[in-house]
Amino acid sequence: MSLVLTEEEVLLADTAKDFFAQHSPVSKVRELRANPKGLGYDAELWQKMVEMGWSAIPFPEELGGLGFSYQGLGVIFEMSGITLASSPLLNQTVLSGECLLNGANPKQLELYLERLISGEDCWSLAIEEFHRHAPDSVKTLAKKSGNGYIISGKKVFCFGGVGATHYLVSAVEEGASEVSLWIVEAQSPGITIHSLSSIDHRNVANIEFNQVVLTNEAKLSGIVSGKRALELALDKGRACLSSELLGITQTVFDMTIEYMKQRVQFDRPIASFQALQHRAAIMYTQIELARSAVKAALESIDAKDPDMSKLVSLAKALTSNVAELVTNEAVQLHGGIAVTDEYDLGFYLKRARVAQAALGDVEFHQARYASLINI
Amino acid sequence: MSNNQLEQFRSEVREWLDANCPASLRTPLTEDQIVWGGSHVEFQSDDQKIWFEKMRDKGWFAPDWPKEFGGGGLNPDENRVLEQEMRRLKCRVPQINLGIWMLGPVVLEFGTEEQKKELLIPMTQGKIRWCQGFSEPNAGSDLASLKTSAVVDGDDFIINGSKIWTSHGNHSDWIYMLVRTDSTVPKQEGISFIVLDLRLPGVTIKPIEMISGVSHFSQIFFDQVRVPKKNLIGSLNGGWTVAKRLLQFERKAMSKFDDGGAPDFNYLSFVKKYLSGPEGEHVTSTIKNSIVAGLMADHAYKLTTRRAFEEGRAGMNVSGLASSFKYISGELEKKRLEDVLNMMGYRGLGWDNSGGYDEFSAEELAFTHRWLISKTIAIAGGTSEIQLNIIAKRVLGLPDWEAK
Repeated sequence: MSLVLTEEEVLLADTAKDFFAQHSPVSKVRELRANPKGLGYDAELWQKMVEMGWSAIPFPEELGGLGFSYQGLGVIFEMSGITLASSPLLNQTVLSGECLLNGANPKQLELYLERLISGEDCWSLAIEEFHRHAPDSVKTLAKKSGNGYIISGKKVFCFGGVGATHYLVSAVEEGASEVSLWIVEAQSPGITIHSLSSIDHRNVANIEFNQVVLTNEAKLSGIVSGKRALELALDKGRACLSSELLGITQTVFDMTIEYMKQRVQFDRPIASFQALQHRAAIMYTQIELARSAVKAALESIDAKDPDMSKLVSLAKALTSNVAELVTNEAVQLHGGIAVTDEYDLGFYLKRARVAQAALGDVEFHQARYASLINI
Repeated sequence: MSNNQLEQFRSEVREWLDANCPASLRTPLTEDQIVWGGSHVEFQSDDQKIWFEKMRDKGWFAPDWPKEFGGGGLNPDENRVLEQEMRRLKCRVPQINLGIWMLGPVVLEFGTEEQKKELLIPMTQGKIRWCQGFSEPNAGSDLASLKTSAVVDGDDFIINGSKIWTSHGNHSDWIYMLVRTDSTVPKQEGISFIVLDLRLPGVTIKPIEMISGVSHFSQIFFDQVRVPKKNLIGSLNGGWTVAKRLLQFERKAMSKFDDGGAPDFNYLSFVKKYLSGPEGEHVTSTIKNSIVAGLMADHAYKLTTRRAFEEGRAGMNVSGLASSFKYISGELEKKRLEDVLNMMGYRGLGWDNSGGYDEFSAEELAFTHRWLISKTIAIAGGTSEIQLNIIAKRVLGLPDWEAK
């Protein structure tokens, strides 16, 4: 294994960069904002991404996927960060897809995976019940009833929850000690969706499940437990989200360096002031550390490295941390223009803040890293 | 080189190291256990001597140098494999010598055939201990303003002036140094790079006492010291170019030093033991979080050195990363030692146990000592601020400040 991309992965990176520049420039975020009742992404863009094969990347060929690497998938996320492109690639392909891939039985896979890959169905996780990422803290109850289950509970901050056709809902079965996952169709009676408007104008909802009746077949029951399948999917999603954060952070940094070279005050470009140069240089070092962590996390997924969780938490903590540093420095080094709506920097600040909090913030992943090394 | 050949080489290296590295030298190297190659090499055990000789005879004091100069003739991949296997088997480095890490590579690049033979072979034999003479009392970060002069006199130079912050100067055999050979041109263009024997008449070496209670550093005085012209490395007044190249090797060597190559205080195991034992009882989550953040940054730093190696091997430009290593590792080390002192509380305040009561453990004293030593890391070999200047200018392309 190596932290250097293969030729195929480099090609994919170039393709993705051009693709997002052409089909999803930053101005798209303004369009999403102007349409608050929409999906929080452009369905046509998503269809194009499906046609490129990107929604098939993590799945093996025998199940209709491409069996391509996470190091490759990761660069698509990184490139999506450059223009803040919004799509279901994280919520549907990585998070929901990986839950099915690892946690579903063959019959469930046959029933759902093809339509998840093709984009005909829309999937989202419904796993959070608190206003911080806490996937183990679940009160939603699955009661055994005849040939199935009755699920009740309230899920919050479901990314991709608006317009989904299927949810993967975490719940605790009566008498069980750990969570499992259930496939719930969105039009089932007893479901109420409250669409939320977030600072990044993407897709997020609170969802109430009130006595939702499910069959036995709705419970994920593959070789791996639902809890374990969710953990694996979350780690892969965190690595991809870290990659997006890296793309956002690098872009904001590049914008800032460019601006510093052009902005003249006291008859000189402000980039020539040592006090500012050092702040830029420190940001550079922190971005490079985070980049190494992201690459190592993606590599560890492809290598099935037992240290994957540790590397993923390292990557998510470092990218979330450096995103906060760089977006704040960017605003300060730009000055007033940074906080105007006309300038795009604010969109990066706002999307970065969502990505920092999603799937575990610095605090969460630092604590997780500490427990993984027994401190 | 194919993967198969490399894996074959790996298994041979592993076998050889396992057969030849004594078990007593597979423990973390502490400062007092370092073997310094040179004319007065001292061994504290037979094992150290055996390991020194085995590695010397294998050419592995300088594994990636040509065999004709006593090196191991390994290519970069093989050299990396050797480093990895030494780390894996926890083999200590057989000796530490600035000649091999810093001067050697520039002699290979800039030296004449005669200089290569005369200077490199004693290095690979571990016979000469080298030190570095760059800084002067009035030339620190502004190194190019150095004033120690070398004036041509027949076939010789006559040297006058003083060098400071020379590591282990009082234990060294030879010095490589920068001298002023022209003071009428812009300052970088009048500097030359020469080497000399410290036993020459007119050389005086004075150790400098440090806040940590030890004196690794010396000031060296040169009073009418006569040195043959053939001791010039590179061209006359071309010393600045040689020195810049050497500093790149220094940064590389220092990062290797951090990367498990040499003194490792086993920070993690100490911190774990402390936090989980009775000593950790009143340590707050703030201190613990700071320690964990430091461990994570260190992890990312190690991944970054690995990435730089792999990207460099793949032909990518890694000069930006290379420029960052000293800044990152220096600041990280300072922070980690502050964290550990915070964690130890009163127990981190011991100077020694000479009061007659063994209050402080050897480990605690070692960390307190290391804390004081760590204050030099972001100063020596280019301050953190100079490193940031380099990143700003060379990596990010930010313009110089111009007077108006």
